[in-house]
Amino acid sequence: MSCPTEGVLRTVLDGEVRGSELEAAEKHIGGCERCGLRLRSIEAQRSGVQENLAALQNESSTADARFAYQRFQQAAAGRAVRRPPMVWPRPAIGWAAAAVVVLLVLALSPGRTWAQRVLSMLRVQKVAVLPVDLSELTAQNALGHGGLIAQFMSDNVVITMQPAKPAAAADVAAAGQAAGFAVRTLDQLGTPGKISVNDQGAFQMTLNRERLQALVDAAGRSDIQIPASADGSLLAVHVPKMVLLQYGNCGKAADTQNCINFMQVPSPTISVPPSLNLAALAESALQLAGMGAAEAHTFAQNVDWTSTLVIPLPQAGASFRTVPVDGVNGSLIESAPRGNFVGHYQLIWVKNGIVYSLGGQGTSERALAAAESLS
Amino acid sequence: MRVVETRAQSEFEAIFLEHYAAVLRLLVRLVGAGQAEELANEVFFRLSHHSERWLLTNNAGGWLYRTATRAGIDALRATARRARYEQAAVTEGKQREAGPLEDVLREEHRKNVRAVLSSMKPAKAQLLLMRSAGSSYKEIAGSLGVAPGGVGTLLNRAESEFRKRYLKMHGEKEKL
Repeated sequence: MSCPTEGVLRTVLDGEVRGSELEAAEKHIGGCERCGLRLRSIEAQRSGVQENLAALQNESSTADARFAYQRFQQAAAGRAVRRPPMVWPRPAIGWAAAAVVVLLVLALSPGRTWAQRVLSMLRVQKVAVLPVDLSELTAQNALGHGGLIAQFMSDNVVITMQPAKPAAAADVAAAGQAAGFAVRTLDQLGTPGKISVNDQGAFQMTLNRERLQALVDAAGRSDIQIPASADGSLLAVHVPKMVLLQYGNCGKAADTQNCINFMQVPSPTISVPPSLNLAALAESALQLAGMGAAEAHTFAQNVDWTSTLVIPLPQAGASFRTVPVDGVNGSLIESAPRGNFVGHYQLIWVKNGIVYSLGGQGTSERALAAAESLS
Repeated sequence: MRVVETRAQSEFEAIFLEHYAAVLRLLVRLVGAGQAEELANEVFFRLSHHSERWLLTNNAGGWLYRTATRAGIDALRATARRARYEQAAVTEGKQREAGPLEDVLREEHRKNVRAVLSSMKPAKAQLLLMRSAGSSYKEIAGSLGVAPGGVGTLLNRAESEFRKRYLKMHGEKEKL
C-alpha cells in the first residue's frame, strides 16, 4: 500500500473507517515513519482546534423541539407566514429573460482584450443550461416583484431604446422584411396561425460595486465578494427585432398542448469594457445562484463567456439535455407533468448568428419531429 | 389547495422537529445562547416560505445548517461592526466587574473563537461546528453536499485555516 493521503489519515484518526480498509491503513502507518509523523501532526492540529471549539459548547439552551415548534407557530402567525403560489420551474426564455440573465449571472468575461479603449462586442453563438439552486434567493425574497434584484434593476438600468408594441405580419416574407433577416418555418406544421415581429430594444446598466455588495449581503451571502473591477463598469445590451411564429391552437381555448411557439432572433450584442474582470464577477454571481465556491470557480474558468448565453435553470422538477437539431446541438429543457400541470418544454439553439427557440406545453416529441422539417 | 397547504404544513413540521435541536446547538456554539433561539426561528421562518414540493425534493436539513451558519456569521459580523462604534473600553470594564476572572476569560475565549469562525467561509465554519457538535462524516457530507470520503480532507483544510486565522487575530500566546 502506498502512503495514504492526509484525508485518509484524518478518517482513520476520527474512527470513520472500519474493516479491512482500517486494517490496511493501520498496518501501513505502523511501518511508515513518515506517515506516523503526518498522523501526529494532523492529530495535534485537530486537538488544538477542537479544544478551542469545545469552549463554545458550555452554554446551555433549551432544545425541546415540540415546545419550540409551538412557540415558532405563535411567532410566525404574527409575521403573516405565507407560502408562494405553486410556481413550476420554467427556463428563462425570451430576451427579457436574457436581460435578467445578464444581470443575474453576468454571463460574460473579458476573455479577449481586443481594443484598448473600445468596448468589447459579444455575440451569442451557443447556449448553455446551468442548473442553479435559487431557493435561498427565493427565501430571501430577492427575486420577486419588489425584491432586491428587481429593485436593483429599476435603480440601475436605463432603457436606451424602448421597443414598440409587437406588430402582426401578413406572412413569413413580410415578417422577414420587417425584421431584416430570413425567417425560417416548420413545414411539417403547415402555415403558422399567427406571425408577429417584436421591435428591437436596448438598455444600459452601470455597475455599482457598493450597491451590488449590499445586495449580496442582504441576500445573506456576505461571504461572496464582488470584484473591485466591477465598479463603474457600463454594460450595454442590444436586442434586435425578433420574429415569433405560432403554430396550432395558441389562443385561450383548452387545447394549449397543440400550440408551438417558434421564436427567432439575431444574436443580441452585449458591450462591456475590456477592463472589467467579468470572469470573477460571474463567479460571484454563480455562487449567489447557489453554486459552491469551487464549482463556481471551475465553471467560470471553463465556459467561453464571450459567446455563450447561460440560462439558469432552477433544479427542482426540470431537466435538460443536449439534442441534435438543425445540424447543431440544441439544449432541450423540460418540466415534467405533475398534477394539473401538463409539462413544459423549450428547445434552444444557435445557428449562423440567429438564436432559435421552440417551446410549448406538454411533451416535446411533436416539436422535435417538427424541427426536422425546418426550411 | 387546502389539502396541499396541510401537507406542506405537515412536512414542514416534520422537518422542524427533526432538525430544530441540531440547528439550535450549532447556533448556540456560533453566537451564544442569547441570540441562538431567535436566529433559529428566523432560519425556520425562511424555510417556511418554501413550497411543499421543495421541502419534499430537496435536502432541507443541509439547507438549514447552511442557512443557520450564514445567519450566525452575519449576526457575529453585525455585532462586531456595532462594537466598533461603541465605547469598547467602557464595556470591557463593566464586563470585568461582572463576574469572577475565570468567567471573563472563558467569555473572552469564546469571543475569540467566534471572531475566527465569522471570518471564514460559511461552509468551512459549518464543517468545524458540525464536527465539533459530534456529527458523523455521513451527516456532514449530506449537509454540505459532498462525498463522505472527502470530509477528512475538508476538515484538515478547515482546521488548518482556523489555526492560521486564530494565530493571526489573537497572537501566538494562544495555544493551538
